[in-house]
Formats: sequence, structure tokens, C-alpha cells
Amino acid sequence: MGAVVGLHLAPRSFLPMKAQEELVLVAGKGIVGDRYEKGEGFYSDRPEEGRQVTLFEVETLEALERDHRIRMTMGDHRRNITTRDVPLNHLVGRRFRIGGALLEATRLATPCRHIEQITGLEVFTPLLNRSGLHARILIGGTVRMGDVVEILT
Amino acid sequence: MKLIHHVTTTVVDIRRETPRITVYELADPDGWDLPPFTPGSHIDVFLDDRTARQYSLCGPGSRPDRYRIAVQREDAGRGGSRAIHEGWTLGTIVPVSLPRNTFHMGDGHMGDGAAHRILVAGGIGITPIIAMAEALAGSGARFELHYAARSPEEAAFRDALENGPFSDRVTFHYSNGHDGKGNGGKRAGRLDLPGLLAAAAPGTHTYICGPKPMIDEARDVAEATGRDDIHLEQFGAHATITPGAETAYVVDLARSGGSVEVAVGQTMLDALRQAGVEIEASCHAGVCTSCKTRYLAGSPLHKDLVMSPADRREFVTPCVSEVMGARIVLDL
Repeated sequence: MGAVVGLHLAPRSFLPMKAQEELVLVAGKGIVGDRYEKGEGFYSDRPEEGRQVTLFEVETLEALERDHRIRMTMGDHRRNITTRDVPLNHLVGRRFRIGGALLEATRLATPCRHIEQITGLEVFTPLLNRSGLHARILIGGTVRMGDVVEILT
Repeated sequence: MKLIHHVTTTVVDIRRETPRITVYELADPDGWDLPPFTPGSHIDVFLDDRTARQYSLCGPGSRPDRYRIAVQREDAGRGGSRAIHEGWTLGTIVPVSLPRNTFHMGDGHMGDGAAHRILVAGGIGITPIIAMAEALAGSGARFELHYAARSPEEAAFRDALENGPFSDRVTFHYSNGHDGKGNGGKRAGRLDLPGLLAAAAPGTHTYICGPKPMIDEARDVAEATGRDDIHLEQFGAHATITPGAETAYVVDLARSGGSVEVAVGQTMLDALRQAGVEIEASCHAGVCTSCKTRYLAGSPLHKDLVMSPADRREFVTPCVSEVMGARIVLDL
């Protein structure tokens, strides 16, 4: 069963993401202390109701290294929750539990040049169609490292 | 100016270094680590929507949560340094860019493979050089530092250079003849840059940052000898290395009646935003079409990856696309 292998946040645009042991998700809002919950993210001038939390597959990082010799850490991809063994691209429109929170996947994330600016790595094209997942928070709660992802509907 | 499109910092320390040079330390408002940098990097400091100035990061390498810049007041300059000296106080919010490095030691941090390095600074050109010296000293690499200044009073970071952990590798060259008796560091006469370069042993790389005459002198040596181990940075002349226009052009705004000049190296999107035009953008790569804008005249050089030929006859993506010719008219 898939699980959480990385949790990250940053309080403002451009800042390095820092690893956390847990994230506190607030229903209908975002992650306590994260830039998008505070309205201080690079894209906060284009708020999107379905983009309260972002997820990313650790397998994509492994594929980037295997196929493109691009080394990125879980902090570099700038999504909040990194998972293993969860087919994120299949979850659009579905609900899933993760720790104490209930999420609904809204759409696939798209890569952006912003991440190339920050990392100095040419990752835009290799990340097309595997750049993570956006979700809204239906029920808030705490998500911890190792929490299992339970797909509901 | 939208702070979210910049690295937001606040002034946390101000120290008068010389009568004309003040050192400022910038930090995230929450003390979070700042985007990392390598020695030789600089940042754009935004003074307002239309005004940015470049300053080298002089460290400190030991504090990932701080950027340190040294600003020399130029009363005959364009006004940026004066605005900083007069306007910045503790707590001033300062938007800056991500660090960029156009003066790095080889491919990446200390990747030049040099057996020895000669660092040469002229005047305020000490700013990237001291960051390099600190990094080299920290890694135990061999180097020497030559600092040409008019007088001890006008030499920035003199205390660190005279009394710091690498003071035995520093030679001061004061052009006013002052012997500058100080605590540490050697004293020598006026800097003989061609002589210094000629005497460099094979395997030595030399990094020079200073005013135009110093850079010209070093470039002449490099060109005459064909050497590729001489690395130059003239201060005040950082190239902006964002993708953008290869030739300048003008964007006319049909609805609002204004005109915006797009400079070489700038994107149409950046130029429009700097001129205060609100325009959405997301991927900055010609994929998401958030910035898609109707044009009424002119010939875009489309660089988006997704629009159909029909769309391209009507719309342009200012984030990546350019213009063939001198003008384009947008429906804005």
C-alpha cells in the first residue's frame, strides 16, 4: 500500500523547501505555515480552490535520475507531500485518506519554469505529465511521515 | 511590485565599512534559509518596479539564512546606491532576485581544478572576491589575494582581510602610497597586474573583479597570450541572463494607448509587468497559455509549444515569444 515518504513546506516563494515530520492540513485552505496557505507563493496571485495541497511521486525522481541523469531531492520538486507506490495520475476526481486528512484530487500539476530557475536544472520537459497532483482538503488533519494513502472512491 | 515574484528579504544589519561603502545583511522575514548561492554570485536588488541594481554577494558562506552586500555610494551615478544609503534602515523590505553566478570558479563550485588561485580585487570589486577567498580558505585550497584600493580608509572588509583566518595570504596595494601599517596582511606598492599574471605558475587560475581599466588591462594580457585561466568581472556590468529578446522592440498597447520597450535579454512578459501592465502567467514556458494575448498588428516570433496555427494568427504568448521587426500591437 502506498505511503508518505516526504513532507515539505516553505513560508514564501523561492525559499528552499524544508523537510517536516508532519504537516497540518486545514480543510478548504491549505497547509499551516506553507506559502500557499499564507498567500505568499509564486502563484498566489492566481489562487485556485483545488490547489490546497500538492503531491508528487518519489518514483518520478528515480526515473529522472535513471533516464536523464537529473538528480533532484524531495525538497527540489516543491510539492508538499512525496509518496511511494501511489499512482497519483490515476487519482484525478477521486477521494483518498492520508493520515488524518481526507483529500480530493482536482487536477494534474503542470511543470513550470519557476522550478528550473530555482534548481538550475533543465527539468521542465522531463516533468511533463508527471509533475504531481493538486488536491483540495475536504477534512483537515495531520499528515505524518509513513502515513498510508487509502484510496476511497 | 508583487513581492511573491521576488525573493523577499528584510534588512537585518547595517554596518558602515568605509566613508562611502556600507554593508547590508538581508534575511528572510521569518529567518528561513535563503536560496543558496556559490562564491562569485550576484543578485538583482529591486528598488522599485522599474529599477534594479546588481550587487555581488560577499557572503557570509557560513550563514545560509543571510545575504551580505556592500554598497558603494556613487553620488554621480544613476541614483541607486544613493537611494539605498539614504533609504534603507533595519526592517526595510527588499525584493531581490535569485542569485546568479557569471563569475564562478570553473563549472560549479571550485570546479576549475586549479592547483593555485590568484584573486585580484580593485576597489569595490572586493565583494565577490571575499566570498571566493572565504570559500577557498574553508576548503583548505591554495590561494593568494591582492587588493588594490586608494587608501586603507577606503578598503572595505579591511578588518576581515587583516585579521581574519586568511590574512597571511592577503597583499594590499594602496595607490596613494600609504604603507597602511595594519595588523595583518602584506603591503606592496601599486599593483602590477601584467607582472602578476606573467609570473603565475602553470595550473594557476586568476579571478579579477575591479573597475574597467583593471579589467581592460587583464583582458589585454589574456588576449595577447591566448590564456584561458584568467577570469574577469567588471563590476556594474552584470549581464542579465534571462531568456528573452535578441533585438529590442516596442509593444504598443491598443486599448490603454501606451508603449512598452522590450530590451535585449528581456521577455515581453517581464517588460509588460515592469511597466505595470497586469498580465497573468504561469508556466513561463509557452505551455499553459495563461499569458496568451491577442495581437492586432506586427509579426510574432512564436515560441510556445502548444498553440494551433489558427491560434497563432490571432494570439501571442508574451512569456516566451518574441517579435520579428520593430513593433507589435497588443489588444491590451
